Amino acid sequence: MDRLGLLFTWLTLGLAGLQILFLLAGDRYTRRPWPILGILLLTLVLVGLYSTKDMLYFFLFWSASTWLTFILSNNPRKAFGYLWVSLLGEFAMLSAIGYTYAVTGSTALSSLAKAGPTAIALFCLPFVVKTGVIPFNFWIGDLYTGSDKRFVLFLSAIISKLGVFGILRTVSELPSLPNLAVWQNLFIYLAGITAIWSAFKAVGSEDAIEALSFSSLSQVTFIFASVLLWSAVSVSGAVLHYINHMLIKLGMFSVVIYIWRKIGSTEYTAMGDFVRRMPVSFLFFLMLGISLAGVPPMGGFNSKWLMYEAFISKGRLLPVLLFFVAGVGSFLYVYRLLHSIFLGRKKASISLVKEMNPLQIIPLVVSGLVSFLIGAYVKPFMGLTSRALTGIFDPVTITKTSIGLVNLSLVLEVFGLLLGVVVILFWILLPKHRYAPDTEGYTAAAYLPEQIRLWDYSYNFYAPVNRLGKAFVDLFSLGWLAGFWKEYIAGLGLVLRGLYNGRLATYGAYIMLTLSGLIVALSLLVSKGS
Amino acid sequence: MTKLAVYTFALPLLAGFLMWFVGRLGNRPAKAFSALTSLITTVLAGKVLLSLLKGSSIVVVFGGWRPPLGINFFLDPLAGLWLFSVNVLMFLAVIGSGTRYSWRFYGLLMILLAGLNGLIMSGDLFNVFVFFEIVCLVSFALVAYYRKRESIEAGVKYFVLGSVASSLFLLAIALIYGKTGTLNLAQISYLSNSWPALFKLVVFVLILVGLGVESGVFPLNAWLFDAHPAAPFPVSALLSGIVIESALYVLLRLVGLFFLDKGAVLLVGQTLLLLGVLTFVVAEIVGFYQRDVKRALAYSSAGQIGLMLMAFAVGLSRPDLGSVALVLLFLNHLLAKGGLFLSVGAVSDRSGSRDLDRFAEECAFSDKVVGLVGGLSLVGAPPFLGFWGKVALVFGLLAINMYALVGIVLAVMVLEAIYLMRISSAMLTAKGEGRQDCPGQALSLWVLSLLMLGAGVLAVYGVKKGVDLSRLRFTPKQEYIQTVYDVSAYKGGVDIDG
Repeated sequence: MDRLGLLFTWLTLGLAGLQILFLLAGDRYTRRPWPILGILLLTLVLVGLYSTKDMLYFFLFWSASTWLTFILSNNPRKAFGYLWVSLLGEFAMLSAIGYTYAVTGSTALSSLAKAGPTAIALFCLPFVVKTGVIPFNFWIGDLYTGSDKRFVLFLSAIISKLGVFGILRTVSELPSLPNLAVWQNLFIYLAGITAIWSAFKAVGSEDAIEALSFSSLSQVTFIFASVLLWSAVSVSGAVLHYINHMLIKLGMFSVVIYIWRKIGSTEYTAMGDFVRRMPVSFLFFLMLGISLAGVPPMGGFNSKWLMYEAFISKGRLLPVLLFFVAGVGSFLYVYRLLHSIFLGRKKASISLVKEMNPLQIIPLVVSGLVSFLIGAYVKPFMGLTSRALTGIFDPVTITKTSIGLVNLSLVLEVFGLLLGVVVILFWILLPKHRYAPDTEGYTAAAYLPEQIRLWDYSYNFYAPVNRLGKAFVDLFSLGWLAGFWKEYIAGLGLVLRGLYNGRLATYGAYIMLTLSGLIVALSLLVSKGS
Repeated sequence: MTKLAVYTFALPLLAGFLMWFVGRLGNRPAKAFSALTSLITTVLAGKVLLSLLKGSSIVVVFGGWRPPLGINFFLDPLAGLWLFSVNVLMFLAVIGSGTRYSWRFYGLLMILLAGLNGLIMSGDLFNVFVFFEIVCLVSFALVAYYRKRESIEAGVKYFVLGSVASSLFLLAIALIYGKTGTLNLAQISYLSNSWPALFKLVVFVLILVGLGVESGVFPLNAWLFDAHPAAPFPVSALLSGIVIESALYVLLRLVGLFFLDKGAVLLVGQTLLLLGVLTFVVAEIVGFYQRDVKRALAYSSAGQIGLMLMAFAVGLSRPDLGSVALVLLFLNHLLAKGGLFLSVGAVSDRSGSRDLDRFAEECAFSDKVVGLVGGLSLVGAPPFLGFWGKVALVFGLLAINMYALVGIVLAVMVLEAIYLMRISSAMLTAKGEGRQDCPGQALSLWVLSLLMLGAGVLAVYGVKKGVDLSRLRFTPKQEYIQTVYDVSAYKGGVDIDG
């Protein structure tokens, strides 16, 4: 296994270990063996995927990961869209492998270069599909919200980013890069649009799992586009953000899943003011939220900085703009997550939650601390990514870009200092708030849970933003395209179905027509040949 | 070993007639008797297969009348595998048939088995026709078994179209006999080299259409989509898993023996390839829009026949890929479709509906497992046989430069995957816990699931250990003639032209 594979292997093993610890430390439901065994099996499959450089084996592991994801989602109806669009991608991959084998007689990844740009594009199509780049984004919501909650963490932290590894592995194995500028540009812009679309979806979501899922899509498409840009800085930033995002989702999902086990819901309207019962969780959730939004002193800032740098230094300002808009969206949904879960109005469900037990909280604490370390002391982590990318690019520890020499540690220290000053000023200058008693403000006899959306301000929190983005979100949700497609294919199906009209006379005529048609056609061909 | 091969035909035929007496004891003894018979024939067929894999082909001569005067059976490794698989599925269909069928049903199944075994082994053209007729007539009766309006209508359609097809096949036999004066396949094959082009063409088309109806080749396959849903579910499993495939086997065997001269091989290959693509594409697109699950599975069966035709056509240019693809696709379809019809049929019978949204109200665990494994296997997911079969086919198509065809096939495979997964997911998410008629139903489904899971892995393991899968091919013409004449009285310089 090469260094790149080794890095991804260790990351996946580490995450799987922490997630399994979280599940084992939970209640009887999360401790059930099947999901844990499934995650272990999927981890093994992924290790196989990271280690191979043969296209056929790659396909096998890739396909196995698709099916295992489908099975582990434990909701075939909701995961169905994911499955069939993944199969579509895999058939494209298989045809690329077949074509390459026919042309070169080899199934080594490096031989893909000889098969030409179309074969490379076909081979890489499943990576685009798995990442969820528009127009392959329609399955995301269903899969994440419908999946078994015990698996959704792994799904978001690892599976969602398999496409990134796929591109990295494929392109790094090509001895020479053919001209793929059209594909590269197309998918960078589509990734940018997807990032904005998914940020809007996350902002407008009423469910914490759904919001985190769309947030994953937004972040992963940024990583994906950075890898597609294919420069030392962009790929280093992408790998660093990969690590960051993995940690962020590990921690944030573990909190949400824990709350779900306690209160039975992940909707914002069912949560509120949990900071009083889960202060440690809040602290680390806040740290990870800051990292997700790309704010110093957390690791997300570093990695996003690098990726922005890479795009700017290549003169790609439009993608920068797209990802910046998506970044603004990330501020909004991170704030909403924090506010709805930990702050906001106190809900009756608060009596059901308490701080996670010491074992269960370990993944959250580890992810928060490591993410902070990536932010505060980035050099060793950059060294890690540099070593993984050795042989592909020159080492990148202190980044030289077109706009100057960037020492990320220095940048972080300055930002961290400034942030500290701001926090202290807020603490000193702003008046202290007071918690309102539980039922203050209610005069009637009881709550009306079925009407909660009418009076709970946590519902439709960003109503103006939602209205602003509605047309954009609807356009790229592609519901209209699915209807269009279905209608036309259905039309074709009906025409062909008409061939089998159930009438014996028609079927008899088919036999006679085939008989005479074949005799005439073949005799013409035979006479032409002779 | 030659006697064992004969018993695989004779025992079920005898059992079929004895069923009239056994049936007096009740339906359960009749089922047990047919299960025992098919188990014995399965063991015998297994022994025959093992001996074929170790040694060379077998020729069985009847009554001391050596070919081409007498009647003979011919068995190469492919025929042995086909024979064994047919008997395995028949055994599993019998034990998985539940408790609702009468002794007449099992009697018909035994005669069907005899017909199929004879059809696979026969080395004589007229006997091929006789066995073909036995298979068709018994199938008509089995399709109409329920005697309801739907099943009788389906049975009548099948009977009429099947009779037309048989007539065309008989006409081809008459023309061949008129031309050659013999019915022995080896001798006809030898003499076919000198047939005039037009004669050969007419006979080819008559055989293709005649056997193509029973095989489910487009557009001759219309009977199939009415017969499968209307038939009792074990019959649907057998029709799909072995009846249409055995007809295809005979068609391809005859094409290989009579029509693959140097001048004709390209044209024959292209014709079969075209029919295969049309069969596959049309069946899968129509299947995609089916709400009736059994009908959807019937369309899928036709689609798989299309793939097998393509594999055979590819094998004419690239035997290493085409013949391997054909065998893998055949085995995969036999196991997967057999399992799916046995589970889907039983599940839909329990719910009283064949609608995609309502058929799976109650599913036993074994039904769910077969629903998933069978679906995955047919879709061509690794590591099932279907995956390796489809990979070999795609590589074969690429090797003969059919790039556009690969695109079409892959796109249609996605449609196939979608509707098969819809069926599988409906079964997986069924809320009710279905109760099966008898433990035999669960047993047959578990065995089929294990076979599906094991076959793909075993195939890969076998290839890694040096097993040559390309041995499982239709014996080439010259080798076939040579093998038959090696046991013939005409061996050693006697003029076989008669």
